[in-house]
Amino acid sequence: MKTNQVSYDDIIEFFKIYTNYLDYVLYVSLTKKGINEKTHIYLMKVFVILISKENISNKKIILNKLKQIQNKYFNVKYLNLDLQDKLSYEEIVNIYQIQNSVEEFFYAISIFKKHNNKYLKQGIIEFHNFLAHLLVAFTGQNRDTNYKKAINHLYRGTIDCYKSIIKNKCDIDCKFQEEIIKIREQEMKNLGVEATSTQAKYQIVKSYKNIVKKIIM
Amino acid sequence: MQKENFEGFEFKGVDFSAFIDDKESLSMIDGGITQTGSVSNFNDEWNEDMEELNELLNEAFKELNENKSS
Repeated sequence: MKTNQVSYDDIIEFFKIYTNYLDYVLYVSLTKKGINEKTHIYLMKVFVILISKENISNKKIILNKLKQIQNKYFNVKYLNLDLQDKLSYEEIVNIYQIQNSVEEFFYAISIFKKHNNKYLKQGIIEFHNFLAHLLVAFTGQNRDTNYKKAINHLYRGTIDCYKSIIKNKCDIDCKFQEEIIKIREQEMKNLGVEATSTQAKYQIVKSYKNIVKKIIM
Repeated sequence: MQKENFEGFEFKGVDFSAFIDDKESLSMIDGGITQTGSVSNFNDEWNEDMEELNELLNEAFKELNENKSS
């Protein structure tokens, strides 16, 4: 019996908490207090647990714990952000637009983590940029542009994970030289092309993924 | 608009045990190619609550992996 599944309301709740976090971080990160980098990791992990289709018994407990942490540490209002009230079910049902990109990102970052036993900072940063754009898309504000930018950040985070693995494993004359050069050529051809399609980008992801699979598996 | 259930994402092939963390693994390394941002250094005032959250997440990732493989 799937009694612990997450509803769209829970996802709205997560993004309400994230709105507060973003408000906190946008100000505090520019002060000497700084921000707690582990919180970035936790929020990414809570997000993936929430949106996974698997039935996990403590999903709601995790969301409640995050809510407690929000109330205790970052329930602030430094900025006049008018986002929380605009989060709506009608917008959040569009979340499936980003499904493929999100799944690819978590595949890449899990491989990186598995092989380095640490998270790639740039991957985590890209993920948070993704969440910020997704949050605004969920309010309906510049929806299409924000979805596009959200997906772009995930794309960058995904290929950063793969590139870092390749960089650490391949000498200049490694056996993947030809494949690496071909992907680089493709990337250069797409550079600055506004209309580079998500499909074309994910062809590049697929190519990097194939090399990484050969390197580490 | 009638509310539908959120089906969730599948995450085919993702080994979620990668996200089970202890103090050492819950950290970041540089090494990206396109460094564009920064995350400030860790400051540890939130430790106790965050450790509780980490425990809950570790349990969830274990369960998630078991459910995916069964």
